[in-house]
Amino acid sequence: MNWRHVMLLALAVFAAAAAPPVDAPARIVVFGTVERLPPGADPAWKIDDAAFDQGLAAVVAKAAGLPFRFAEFKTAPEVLAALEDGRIDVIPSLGRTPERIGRLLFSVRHTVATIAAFMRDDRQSPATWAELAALRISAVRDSSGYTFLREKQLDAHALLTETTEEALRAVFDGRVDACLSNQLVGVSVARQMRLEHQIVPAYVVPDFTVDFCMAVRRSDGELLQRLNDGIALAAERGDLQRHREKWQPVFESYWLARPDLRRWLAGGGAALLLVALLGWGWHRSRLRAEQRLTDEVSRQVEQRTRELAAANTQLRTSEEAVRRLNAELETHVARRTQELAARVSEVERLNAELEAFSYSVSHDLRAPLRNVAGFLELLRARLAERLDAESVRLMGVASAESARMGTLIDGLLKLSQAGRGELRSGPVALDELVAEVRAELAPEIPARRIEWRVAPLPRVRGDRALLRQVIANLVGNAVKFSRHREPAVIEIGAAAPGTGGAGDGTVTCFVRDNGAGFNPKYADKLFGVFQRLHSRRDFEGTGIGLANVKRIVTRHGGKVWAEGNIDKGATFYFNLRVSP
Amino acid sequence: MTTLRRRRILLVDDDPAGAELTVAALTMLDSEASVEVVADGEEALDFLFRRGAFAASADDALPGAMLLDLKMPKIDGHEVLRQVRADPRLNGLKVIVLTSSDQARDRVLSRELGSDGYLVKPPSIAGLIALLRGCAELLPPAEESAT
Repeated sequence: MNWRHVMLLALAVFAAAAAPPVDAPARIVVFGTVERLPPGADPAWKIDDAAFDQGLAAVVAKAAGLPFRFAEFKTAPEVLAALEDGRIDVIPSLGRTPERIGRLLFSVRHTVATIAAFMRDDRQSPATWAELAALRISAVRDSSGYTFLREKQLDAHALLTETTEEALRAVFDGRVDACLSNQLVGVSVARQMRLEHQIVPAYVVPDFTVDFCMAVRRSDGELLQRLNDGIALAAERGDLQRHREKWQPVFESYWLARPDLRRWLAGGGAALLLVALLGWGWHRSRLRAEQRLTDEVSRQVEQRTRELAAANTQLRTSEEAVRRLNAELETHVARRTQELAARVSEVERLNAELEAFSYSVSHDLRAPLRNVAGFLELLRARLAERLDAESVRLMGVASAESARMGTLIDGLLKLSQAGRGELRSGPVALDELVAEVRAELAPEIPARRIEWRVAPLPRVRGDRALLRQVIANLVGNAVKFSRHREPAVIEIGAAAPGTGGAGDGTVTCFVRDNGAGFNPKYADKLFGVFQRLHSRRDFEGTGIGLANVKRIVTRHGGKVWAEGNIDKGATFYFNLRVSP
Repeated sequence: MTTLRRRRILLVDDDPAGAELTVAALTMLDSEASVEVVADGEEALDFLFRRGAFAASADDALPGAMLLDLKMPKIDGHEVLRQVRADPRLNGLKVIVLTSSDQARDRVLSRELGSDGYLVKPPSIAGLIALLRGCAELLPPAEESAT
């Protein structure tokens, strides 16, 4: 299977895909040509370009799967007019001249036509282009002959007509010496004028061809696509070639039919002619073979060109799509980045505002509270002798409650400060912090029996003052919640290598007690602000300490978590970066 | 003619109740103390420089010490301190900051601006008296002149 088969298959698939739905009424494509000769008018010659065109149209329309019919008109200009006003859809064979390209859409070429100079057979045929150029010439406006004249800049002096018939008539009348016309058309029209013996193609213009294509209205691009597919398919199947070959002998015989040749034959050159004919026949077959080869090459080139053009279009389309997607993506990313940046700065602003708020709230709350406590003190001093025991107790409760509120506010203030300001990072010896905290707690627990199991702790990297709060909170909690144990056991250590993040530059430390523990169901609530798992009657506290621990450890890039069970003690873990 | 000169102290505090407690503490410390109370930094400067509402008391003796709050409307304590230390006429004035802020920043700035002491308001009068007693040498001595 070579690329042509693939192409054929692709075209067939494309044709199938492009075919209208079966239930839609199929459009009947009307091909317009000039009139065919009446059947049997001259069986000897059958020179009939309309018949050629109609045969071609039939081959292409069948290949493309288009229902079709023909319409015939007297003259070529009428056919053109019929196409332009919509009475027909296609001119099956029209020279692709620069003038027409702007007005019509042309298919790929299906035939390459040569230009011939038609002259009266009693005139001397020109031997060269220069000899021809010296003559008076007629041509049909916008025809292939005219195109050639324009190219040679001879159109200004030429006699331009509307129809081939007029142009040939001028030759016959002697107003011009020669008519330049598509060879096939000229022959056909001369035949219709019954002047084929008087007006003959005397000279074929060398090195100049005109592409003959199917023409449709500019608005009919879809039909053109179908026709192009038909032409490609017909060429692939060999139908076009067979159609051309069917007509080739006719044109060849016309050449032989020239009167001067016939005269020459009558002059007794039969034997010579026989030899010449044999040679000429061999030559023609060679020529034909070459022509076939040329056709095949040209067809392949056309097909490749079409293929490349299609691929190119597709490439451009997808390139454009990719570019558009890229642009959209970039816009999207830029917008998201902007949104994100805006949100980050908004969050930062809100955070700063919240910190400032909580700082000033706790600050400003302290003043009236201090005053309440102060005035209670003054009042008690003033009434000291006059108060009964219950009054003293009530005032004591009021003082204690204001003191508790002071503690709460202090906690909030600490929490607020833990989240604010720069971390002053440096190496911190956790051993030292534990020793300091234990020393600080000692006066509060003189009567307690506590079994301390403190393992050596690593040096970590962090803010000493903040990390001291972590140790103070965790150790303070362990002491507090183990107060009903005899003895209380408090264990402080670092996780063994391999179990606590050795290798990623962090170390996990823990503080364990055998105290009241907690319900693991509420483990995630432990670290929330004002979250308490024990009633104040059992254990005093603000509900801020662990929130503060979490905030500080998180600010250091670490994690904090807890394990425990009711009355089975608790273990608090935190990890921090090891100091190098 | 002789004048009995007592401890003259200027208290600058925008919280009247707080100021009353501070006056009570000072009085418990020394019943002879004479405490002037002003409500903000602007009044404090007017008082010290004898201008505005205090222009008429130009002949009165200046206080020997000032208890100065930091967070106040209009002119804050640090600014008062700055202006006081910039004027040689107030060379002998002792300034003790008495504030609810225990922020290191406030502490350091106060020291840099030339305060003589820094007290964080404690939650009780007993605590305040203890603190004031701790810096008694900064409070002006009771001056007595014979008549």
